[in-house]
Amino acid sequence: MTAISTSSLATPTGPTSNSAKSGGFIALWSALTGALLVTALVLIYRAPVELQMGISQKIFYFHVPSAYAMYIGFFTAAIGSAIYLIKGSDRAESVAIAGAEVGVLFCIVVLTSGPLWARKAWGVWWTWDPRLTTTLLAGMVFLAYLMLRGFAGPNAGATERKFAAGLAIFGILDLPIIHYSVQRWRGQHPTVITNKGGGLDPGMYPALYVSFAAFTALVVLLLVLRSRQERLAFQVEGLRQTLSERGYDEV
Amino acid sequence: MKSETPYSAAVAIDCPRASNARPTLKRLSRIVCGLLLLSGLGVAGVSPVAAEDVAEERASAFRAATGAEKEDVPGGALMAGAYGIILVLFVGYAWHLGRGQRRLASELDHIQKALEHGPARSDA
Repeated sequence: MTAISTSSLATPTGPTSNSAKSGGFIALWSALTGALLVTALVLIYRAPVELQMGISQKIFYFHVPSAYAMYIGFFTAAIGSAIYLIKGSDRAESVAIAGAEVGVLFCIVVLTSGPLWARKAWGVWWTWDPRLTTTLLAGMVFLAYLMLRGFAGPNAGATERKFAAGLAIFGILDLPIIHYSVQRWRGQHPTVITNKGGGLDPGMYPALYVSFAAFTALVVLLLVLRSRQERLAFQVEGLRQTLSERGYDEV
Repeated sequence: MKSETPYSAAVAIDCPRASNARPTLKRLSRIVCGLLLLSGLGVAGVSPVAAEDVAEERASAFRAATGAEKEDVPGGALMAGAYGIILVLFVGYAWHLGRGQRRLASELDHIQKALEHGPARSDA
């Protein structure tokens, strides 16, 4: 009978040396993310106040990087799902689940910070502008993916897992529409930092660049942590099933 | 052939028709035509273009203010609200991750204890 031990599950990476290394990397990356976020806040505080919108324009410094982080999350979910469909690997699916969850988190940030900005800029909390509508749609598609995977649980059947993966790949089709909606249908959404935009005041760029760096670091950190956790959940479930088959009760 | 159209209608539809009318009415018709033309330009052309320009400028470029600005909507409260929401969301997500991690650690402990006790059934 093969020896079963939980020590290898201390982290999904397995051996303790790898665990220590990845733990050190995560601690370092967390410190970097924290430092970047604090720097971004200082730069946002120092950035000039916008002429027409006043201080509420400062929502922009994390609204836009959140949208970018949302894209990263959803792309990760779609790529992980595609790899899962090709190879059937649990690791790819755990990355896909992490991507969808983190993407939805940033999508909520975008969809709550946007209306607060819009109230000042447009006089309304929400309008059915092409970019707003397509962003809401993407959030709903990936939320549906998470609900499907959540209901099925870690010991979901192949059919549920494949259907969920297909949904994530379908959801990714909406992302180019979000990105190009402003250029194609020209709604009310600002196009400040696109090719057709008039740009920012030079004093605003440092805050925006550091915010982008901070949110990139944050989204990577959350993706790594969440995918490791999901992989560990898969392994625990696999171990539980193995033990149950071998006659261990109450596992 | 004499036109059957009433004078007022002639003014509204086609100003040159008013040229046959009496001099006072002729002047009046010119004034009305001029006012209609000006108001038409104002309503249909000038105002929306100006409004569009402002909206377009606001949507395509952010410029720094050069002095004290008066705000009709409390921008500071909106910004504080936005930053507060993002903080709550990220702290909430960190708590959610921590809770998941604790649950997994507890399950691993449970499995570890089950392994120490050994299989319950003799056929295992």
